[in-house]
Amino acid sequence: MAKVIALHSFRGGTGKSNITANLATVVAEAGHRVAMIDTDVQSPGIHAIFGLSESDIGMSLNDFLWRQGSIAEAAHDVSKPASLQDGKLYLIPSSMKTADISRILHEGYDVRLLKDGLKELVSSLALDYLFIDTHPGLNEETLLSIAISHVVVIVLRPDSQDYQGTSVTLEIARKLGAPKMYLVLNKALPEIHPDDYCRKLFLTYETEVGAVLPLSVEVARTASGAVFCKELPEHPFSQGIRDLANRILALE
Amino acid sequence: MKSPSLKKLLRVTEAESLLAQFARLADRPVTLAVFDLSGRTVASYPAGEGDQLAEAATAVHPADQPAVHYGCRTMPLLADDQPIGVLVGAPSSAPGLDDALQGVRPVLSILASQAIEQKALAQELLDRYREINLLYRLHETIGGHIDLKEVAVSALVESVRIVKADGGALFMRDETTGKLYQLTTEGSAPDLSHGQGIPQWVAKEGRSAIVNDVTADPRHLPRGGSTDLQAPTMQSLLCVPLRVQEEILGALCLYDKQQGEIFTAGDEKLLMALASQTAVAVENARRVAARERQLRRQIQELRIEIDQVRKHQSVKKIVDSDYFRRLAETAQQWREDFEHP
Repeated sequence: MAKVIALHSFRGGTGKSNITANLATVVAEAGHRVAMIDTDVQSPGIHAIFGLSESDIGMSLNDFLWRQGSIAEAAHDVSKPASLQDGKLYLIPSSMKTADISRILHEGYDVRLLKDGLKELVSSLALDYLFIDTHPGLNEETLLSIAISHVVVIVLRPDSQDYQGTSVTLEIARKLGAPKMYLVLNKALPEIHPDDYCRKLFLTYETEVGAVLPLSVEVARTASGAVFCKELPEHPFSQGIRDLANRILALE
Repeated sequence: MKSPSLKKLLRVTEAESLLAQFARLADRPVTLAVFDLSGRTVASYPAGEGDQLAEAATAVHPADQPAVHYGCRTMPLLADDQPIGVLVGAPSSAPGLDDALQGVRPVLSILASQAIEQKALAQELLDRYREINLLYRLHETIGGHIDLKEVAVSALVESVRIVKADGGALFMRDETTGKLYQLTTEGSAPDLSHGQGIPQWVAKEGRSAIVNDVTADPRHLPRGGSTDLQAPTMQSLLCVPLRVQEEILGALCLYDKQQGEIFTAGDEKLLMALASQTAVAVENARRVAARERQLRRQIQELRIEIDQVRKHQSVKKIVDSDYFRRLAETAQQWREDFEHP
């Protein structure tokens, strides 16, 4: 049975999509069959990290949700852009066409289809790991994605606007029975030692800290134009991603 | 000790009146005159005749015994065993002249001594007034600060100014390690950067130190132990402890009195008075800082409590809703369905 990992944040701009792409790449690099699904239909973004333009994306998640194709048809093999030697990496992107985004916002979609699609994806691609990049905030699709996940990674920044919302999200996730949760602090300030961040986060949220990722000029410069861990594998950001990946891989 | 000016000690009319009275002891008219140590006429009888005897006055050495010079009888005039002038009478052959001089001399000496004493008292009073004024001003200057660094800077700047030193440094004892650290300096603060040597001794012993030649003092560490040969050196140092009740908080040190002068016991006394005020202000600043830290901690704890309450309220509001109950049921179904393809 594939492990499902949902990545979530209470607010946008935490770097969740970038983390999803990098984390999935590192897990795939370990020789696994991995897929990422961008369920943030309102503001899709992972495709850019793998160099997929609007014209490159044929079928998308939107098409599946509108019953215009199977979910496997919407799976794009991004192993090459991710420079993988071993393993396999797929991306099921959301459409970036303005018309498609407007339509799905206006019409909504049947969340049961999403659940069925995820099952089909795991089966048809023989996945070992499925990463769900969720839409920020508390909404039905996100909560249900969290509910079926084996691991929930909640991303936040050292920003007071994130703190309270993250706390509520964690409690809701627990109430929904999320089995394993990690906190990832992104854009951590250099003047505070990561261990101090870990200690404070654990005391505040009573949740294991998966990684403390630094605020980084190099990451900002990459501007979601590449998989950062492949560009600068020795960077502290990449090291943090690898540590989190190792924790996930170590889970039974 | 510098001899006081006789002109400032004796009132001319009073001196001339005395000379006139004692001149009558001579059997014939005589001229009596009082000269200061520079040979200037202070008073004479008859008035205005003193300059005629000036040559004799200048021939007299202050340590001389009574003698005869240029036909005049001369006697050194003393006050508190210090020479202050010369008494001259002429002609030296006049009978009774000696009696006149011997008679008027002690009276003039007493008057001069009294005048010296009064001036000393007046000076001391003035010094006390200035000291009180300075301490009041210092209290106003440093008393307005509650920040430790500001207190230290104010106190040091005022101390350097009041005692007229080239510069100084204020050292505090670290509350945790007990070691001295330099909190602030004024001037180029040579040799004091590590608080070692004399400042350390002062803080440890709780006693002040006046060292007018630091190179000869075994307690002094040149350049604070530094190997920087370019660091400026100092000649003299005045250092007093900063004490509040029985606790030594640190040391206040001034170096190199201005214009090449030496630090005196008076400077030490003044600096100790300044240090006493400074220590109280420092202790107050530390208490304020400690209280602020405590308040910040309490505020932080309150914030956490408030956040926790808010969180619980938000979560309760969500999970108690029918929508969430249905969602949870759906989530359970999804999980079961997903786990069992």
